Amino acid sequence: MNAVFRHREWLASGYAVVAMLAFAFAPVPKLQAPKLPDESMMQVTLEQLPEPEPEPVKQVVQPVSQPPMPVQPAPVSPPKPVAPPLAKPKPQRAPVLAPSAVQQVAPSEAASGPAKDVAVTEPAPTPTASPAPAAQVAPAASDGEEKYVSRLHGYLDSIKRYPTSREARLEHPTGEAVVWFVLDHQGNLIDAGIEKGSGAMMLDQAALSTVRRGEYKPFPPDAWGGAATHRFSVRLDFSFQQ
Amino acid sequence: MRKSQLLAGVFAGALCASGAFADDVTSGTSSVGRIDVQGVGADAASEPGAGLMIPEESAKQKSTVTRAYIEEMRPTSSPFQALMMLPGVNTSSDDAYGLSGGRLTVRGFNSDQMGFTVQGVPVNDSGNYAVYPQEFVDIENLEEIFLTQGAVDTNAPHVGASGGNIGLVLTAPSDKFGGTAAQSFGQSSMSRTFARVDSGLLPTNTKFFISGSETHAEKWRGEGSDRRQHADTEVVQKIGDESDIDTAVLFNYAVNDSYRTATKAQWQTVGRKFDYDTSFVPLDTNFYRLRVNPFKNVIAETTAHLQLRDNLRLTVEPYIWYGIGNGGGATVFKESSPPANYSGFGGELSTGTKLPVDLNGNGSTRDSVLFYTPSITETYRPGIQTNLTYELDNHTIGTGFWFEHARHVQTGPAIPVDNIGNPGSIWGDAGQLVDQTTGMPAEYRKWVTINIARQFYVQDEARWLHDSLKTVVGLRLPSLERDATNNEFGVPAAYNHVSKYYADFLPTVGANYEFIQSNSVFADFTKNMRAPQNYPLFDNPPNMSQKAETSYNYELGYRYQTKDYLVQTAVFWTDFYNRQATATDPESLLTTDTNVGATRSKGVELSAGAKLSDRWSVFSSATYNDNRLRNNFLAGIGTNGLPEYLPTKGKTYIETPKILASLGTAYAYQGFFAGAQAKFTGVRYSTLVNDEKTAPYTTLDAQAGYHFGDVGWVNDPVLTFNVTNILDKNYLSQISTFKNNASNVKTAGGTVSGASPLYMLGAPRTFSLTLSAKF
Repeated sequence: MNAVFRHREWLASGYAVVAMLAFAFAPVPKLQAPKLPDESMMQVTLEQLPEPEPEPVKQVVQPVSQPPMPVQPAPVSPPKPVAPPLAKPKPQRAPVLAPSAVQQVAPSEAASGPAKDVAVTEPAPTPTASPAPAAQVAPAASDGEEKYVSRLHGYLDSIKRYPTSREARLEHPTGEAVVWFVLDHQGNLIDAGIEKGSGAMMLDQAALSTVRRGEYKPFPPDAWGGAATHRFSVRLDFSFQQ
Repeated sequence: MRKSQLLAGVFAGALCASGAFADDVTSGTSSVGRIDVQGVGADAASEPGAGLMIPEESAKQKSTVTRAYIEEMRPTSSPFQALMMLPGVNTSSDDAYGLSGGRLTVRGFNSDQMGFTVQGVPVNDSGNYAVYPQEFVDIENLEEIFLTQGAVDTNAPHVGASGGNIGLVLTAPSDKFGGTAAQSFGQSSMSRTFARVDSGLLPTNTKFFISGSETHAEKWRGEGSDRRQHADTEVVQKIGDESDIDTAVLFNYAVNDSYRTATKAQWQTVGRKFDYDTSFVPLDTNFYRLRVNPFKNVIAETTAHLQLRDNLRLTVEPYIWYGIGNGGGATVFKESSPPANYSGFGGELSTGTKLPVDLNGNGSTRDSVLFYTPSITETYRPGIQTNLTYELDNHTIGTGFWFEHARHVQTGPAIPVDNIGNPGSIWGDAGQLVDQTTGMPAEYRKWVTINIARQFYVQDEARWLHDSLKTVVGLRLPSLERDATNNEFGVPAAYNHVSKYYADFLPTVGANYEFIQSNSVFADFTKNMRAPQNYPLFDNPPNMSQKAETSYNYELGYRYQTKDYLVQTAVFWTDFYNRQATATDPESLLTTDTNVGATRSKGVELSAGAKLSDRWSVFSSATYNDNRLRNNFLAGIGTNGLPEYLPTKGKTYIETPKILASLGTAYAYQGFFAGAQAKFTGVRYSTLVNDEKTAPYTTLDAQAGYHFGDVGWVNDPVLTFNVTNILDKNYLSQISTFKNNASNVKTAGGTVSGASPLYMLGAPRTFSLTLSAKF
């Protein structure tokens, strides 16, 4: 026992190495696709994700051609391990621009101090973005959808961030993560998750954080058939090279 | 977890109740498209901050120098020089090229109080925590340097860091086959050749690079030169999609003729020419050839990054650091009374006094003989770090263990010097004066220190409120066991072998909250510890009561970060206990470690970067640091038995400038690039009682260059012109040896005599030109 104690550090390190080898060669379960609120709602149209291009907007908006989905009274996902308490939207987010039937926003919303125009935080406005939220009325619903989605792209592009932790700076992971997220009519983030992992834990976390941190605008009127919520997906490609 | 379930359930129920979704459908998924997230900018002009800032999300004040800035630097530069512009940093190099070493202070902490890692491997000297960054890496292979001012990262492997940590990160091998070559020329006959070959991604999922460089330059004052040979290699082996093993080996061989430190009086009378003697006269211990610094070292590490499960990641990093070399030095021995601390010279009288001995073999025992007496240090430091990261809901939990076993041997032989002043061997490993009784080299110092460092840490980072609030709680438990064996001649048997154990609990807590888009506040508290250096254990008698330094660091800061603007500012407060001030006497080469008591440092740091246009980026930083001693310093006991207290209470602590400011800019247009860096350093004190100080000074550096565009099989040839200290300012750059007091001070116990502090001189204006190309 004395010998064991004397060499405890080497044994501990050796154990760590053995454990590492065991894990390395043990069968590792593949990354599962994230569980959606309802399997039947999964209409992931990954094939339509555009290749690198300057104008993703055009290809993205597809008129809804699938058969209408069965009505789901509770589109909100069952508790997901990664979801922070989403039921309390912050009073400062998503200023109410038009009276809306769905009163999910906290009552202090109307009285909230600085009425922040979310558009101010887009320092590099995309060509299609318009800073005045009031001017978002589009003649056709799909035009409004297109504009909204392209504005989403510009906004996420302005708040994206490569992970900055010590581990991230040491390892410089690269990879592509696809994040799905559900916004409601008001622009509140209902839920978000990883649709396709990048293979690097840090990047998945950074991608999710980017989406979660966002403050989104309300939908244009009649977008997506006046749906109360809509699901989006975004592909974040993390790279580290010049 | 349960709470969010409940709330989600309530929310769902509310939705149902409101009937808002009676007929609504979320149909399809709209793709927002692809977003590129670049970890590094294309060049210094295209990012806010001229390559000196990145968006940060840490709960601590942190700064990062990126590749974009590093690649425009002179390629001989040392990593210290790359840190010059950052807030809180005061750095100086002995020469313009960074070949000869230098010093760094951050918030008034010395480089030997900061923890340094290269690719995760701790590189501070295991005995005295010194760092020699010119040895670590060729800067063509340096991806970035991160600096955490004041607070040591919880998962950083350090037992000697009370003031924060600095990490050097290597570039990854390229995915494409190719190579780089560069040639530099500059004043003082500087010449540097560098070449690197990248294998590209091979079919076995391996990629590696290997590079080498050779540098030579004359010293800018006095006689002598710097010679450096360096090689780096890195191999990355991917395992599946998510794991890899990364191996790096960094090798350095350098022989530098040392620069002489000057007192203020010597600098004012002799000026910038002041240095060691350039011609030899008999018995001249200051002849420059006896003041040489040969050193060779190798850092080797392998890091396995293993994704064990989707939410579980393991990193294992065994490493080894080996180095051997010395700092030169010379002593005159009198044959009539040989030095008492060397063994085996002839016989001894019963009183312990030595008999005269003929040291130079000329038959006489009345000569004085000059010997080269280097202090040689050899360190063999293997270690291993393991880190486990676990993602659980909104928590990232990290835990890990670090273990290192360092064997540090310090010796001091005597080597004969020929009649024109050349030592028999600058490495001290041949022709040594021999102990007559043992047949082994006679040494004035014969120390072996075994340093066993262990550290366990655990840290929880959690994200709340839609990931806009991040909290960090961590605990670090470092311990250090120093086992000192002193085989010096004349040391009583009772003092031959002592050991001491130091350990501490180091908690940290912090938060970063983005309260409005692009605006965040952060706050943190960290306790740091630094075990004493090994010198006290080799005192005669050993000083077993030297306490570890402890510091308590509090910060409160704010950040504004958008694509075009980055602002970071923090107020900090650091309470330091048992602060150790280290002074090395350049003549005797003896190092003394003084416990000066407690200091309190309060200040503000600001860094701001802006991208003014597609071609123009600026950076600025400013630091105010009020760092004071909180007690009077006990210099000794007078002959009358009364204590000799020096009036240090409330005095500004040594080597800490109250004000630092920097301004940098980068410009790029169609292949042409240019930049400039201005740095202002305020007054610094060199004595504890503040009776001597260095004047404030400003240095201005600039660079300009051009990308010529591909020519045949030569890709991206670039010509870069660098100039440092454009104003040719003549200044005292580094306070290399502080003193308690420069002038005599009357105390109750008597007069404490003053001694002049010693300084390094700032290098003059220096030009260099570099041509590089890729293949």
